[in-house]
Amino acid sequence: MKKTILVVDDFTSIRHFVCEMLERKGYRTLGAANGDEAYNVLIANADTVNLVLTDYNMPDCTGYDLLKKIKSNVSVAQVPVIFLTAELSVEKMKAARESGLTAWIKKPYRAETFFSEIENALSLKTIKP
Amino acid sequence: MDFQQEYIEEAKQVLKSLEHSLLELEKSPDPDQVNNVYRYLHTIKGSAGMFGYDHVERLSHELEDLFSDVRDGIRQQDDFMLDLTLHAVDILRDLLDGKDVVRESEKIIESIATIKGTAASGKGGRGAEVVNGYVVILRPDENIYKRGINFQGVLDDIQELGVCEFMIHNETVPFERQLSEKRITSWFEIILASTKSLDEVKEVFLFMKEAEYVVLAITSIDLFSSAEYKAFIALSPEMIDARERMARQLIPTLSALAEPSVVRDDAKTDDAVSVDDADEEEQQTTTIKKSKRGGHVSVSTQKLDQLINIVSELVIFRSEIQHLMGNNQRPEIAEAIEKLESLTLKLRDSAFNIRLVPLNILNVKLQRLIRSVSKDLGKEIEFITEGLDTELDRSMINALEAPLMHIIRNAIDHGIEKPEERERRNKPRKGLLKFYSYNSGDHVFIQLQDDGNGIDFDKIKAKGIEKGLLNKGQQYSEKELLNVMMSPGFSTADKVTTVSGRGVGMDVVKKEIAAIRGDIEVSTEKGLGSIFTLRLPLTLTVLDTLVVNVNESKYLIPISEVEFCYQETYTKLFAKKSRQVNYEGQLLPFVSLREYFGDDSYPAEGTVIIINKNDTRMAVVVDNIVGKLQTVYKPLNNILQDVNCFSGASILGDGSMALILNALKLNQ
Repeated sequence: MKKTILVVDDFTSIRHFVCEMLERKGYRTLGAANGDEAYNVLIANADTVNLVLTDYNMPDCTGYDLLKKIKSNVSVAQVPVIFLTAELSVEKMKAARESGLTAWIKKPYRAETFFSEIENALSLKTIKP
Repeated sequence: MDFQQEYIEEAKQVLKSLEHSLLELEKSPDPDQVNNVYRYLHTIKGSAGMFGYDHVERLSHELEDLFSDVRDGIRQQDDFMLDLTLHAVDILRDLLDGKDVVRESEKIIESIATIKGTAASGKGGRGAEVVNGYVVILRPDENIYKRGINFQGVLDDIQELGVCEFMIHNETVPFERQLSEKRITSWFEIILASTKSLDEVKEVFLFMKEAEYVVLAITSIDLFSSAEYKAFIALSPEMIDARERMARQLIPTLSALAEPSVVRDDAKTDDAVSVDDADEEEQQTTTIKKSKRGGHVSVSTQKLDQLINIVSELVIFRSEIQHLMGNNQRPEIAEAIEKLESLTLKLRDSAFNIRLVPLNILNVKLQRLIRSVSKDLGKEIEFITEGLDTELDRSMINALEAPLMHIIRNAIDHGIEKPEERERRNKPRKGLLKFYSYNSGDHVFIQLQDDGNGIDFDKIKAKGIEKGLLNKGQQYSEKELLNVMMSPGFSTADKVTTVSGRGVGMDVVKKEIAAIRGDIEVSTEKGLGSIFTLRLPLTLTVLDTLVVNVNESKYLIPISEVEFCYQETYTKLFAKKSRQVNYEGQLLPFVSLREYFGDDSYPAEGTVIIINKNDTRMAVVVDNIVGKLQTVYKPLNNILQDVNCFSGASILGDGSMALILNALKLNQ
């Protein structure tokens, strides 16, 4: 079955671009424009979403807020979260890692790294029962 | 690309908000607005990189940095800073529109640097780029992948930091396999030269456990012989030497540092114990990479040509073996030859691939040309490209440059109308010029499409008559008129402009394209525009040919030109005076090669080969077909340049030479 990735970015063009790229690689994608919307989409599709790929800096609910929300809800806490971001602050990333962030891809990214990070995060979830 | 357009729109929205916040800040300083400015700049920066707007990324990064200082209270905002940022917003907008304002952008970045230099007293020593040396020792947990860490990504990130030398220890399983099986059993020693600080280097390992990595700054070349280092790796004196050499090479400042001085004695005595162990390990230690970002190597064309030459000879040699083994039915040998064949072909393909470069390298030149030509002529052009990643032989791209530029010049000069005229015709003010490129089979197609006025056939006809190329009373098809347009000495420009009136016409374009074995085709619709399609072979050196026999001599005909073959008796062929055959209801002229070469004896039966080149057909009569052969094309030398019925020569499998027929010239 196709793996589903939830792509969160307030920039529609980037969201669409990332979604299309992932779909070309054979993934199914869902999109959300901010953290709150993403959380709702995730809850509604809890049994199909395999990975959340989110921007960090978004208005209202940031990627970090989203991460914390996901990790504190048992029904979706096991879904790996990857930040796709231009944020470089190590403190922020350390905090995110402690909150359960799986990986951090810096924008702009290199395609190989990008897909291998995603594949890796997806394989994580399948290992766990 | 759609996303790009979408992105530009969105980014401009953000720039608008940014402008607004800046104007608010000008009225009164407000931490919320500063935060907004910072966030907008950050968004622009992050997204620009995704779509390849490097200058936008760079400029917004510098501005973001500036405002992060304001936000953190390190710096006070002032009018100059706001003015500069507002100006930068305009430049960012221009950059997004693809305008050439890179220099302005660089100027702003310089100004930002001076602001930072004067006010950022707290953050000294940022400007100068000092290369620091580090040693990274990575001992990843075997299950690192299961913890969600992409080890390959970590290695890539290390390479991004600067120049480095990787050493793999304990490579009992090939490293590539460890990566593909996601089970890392090796450990790594990396010497790194980077402008980054120790903390920045450590960031790369953020997701790894503390016990899995050590980053040491190389403050002295003695590091490798120090007790501290020995705690991680036991090294023999030779191995220490090797590392010191590598480090000196990577980090120039190290050579300037004091030569090794003291405290080495105790280390030395202890070394003796561990040498055996270490030696064994050294044998398993391989240096895999030494790279500067991305992993590209530049190779001189000379070396490449040499490689291609050897590969070409190998291709011939492979044919020769096949030829020699022609009647040998032993299956093992046949199998081995088959393997050899598939390997040589693979080798050949990769060798040729090395020479291929994307058409993208022409992009800047074309854009600049379009900008300057459209400015000169007072026309507005929107240039759209697609498929610039299509790859072609470097020499082909070089050869293509002039004809492509000429076609574009023509399209802007003769095709696309002036803005006012376009508006009268209900067309958008901006003329559209599209550049498409794609691969199809063994060929690369390049299309240049404009939405201008199309080719004016009446004008061509009038001009043709004036030049004495056409007859006044005669009707001509569009194809014939297009052919006239591409014939020597034809130029329809009303007056000689600096743009398209350089004494070169479409005939030169056609010749230049033909010289690289390409075709050019034009389709046009009056009032709607024209499309120029170039069809080019992927490479110039390998050619699929049909080997034919004429009185014990072999000749080659490019397979791409062969349309059909059949046998016919000479009596039937020569029955009529006119040398013509009936093919699909059409009378085609034919040339008997025996007759052409002055041989007057004929076998009973010959083979007729219907040649179709650029939609011009003719027939060639040979004795018989020997087979198909992939040959390596070699041009004829200067003495034979005038013999135009042969386009080149090649060596056959048995080592003999054969000429490549340029059939259409036989008939002239």
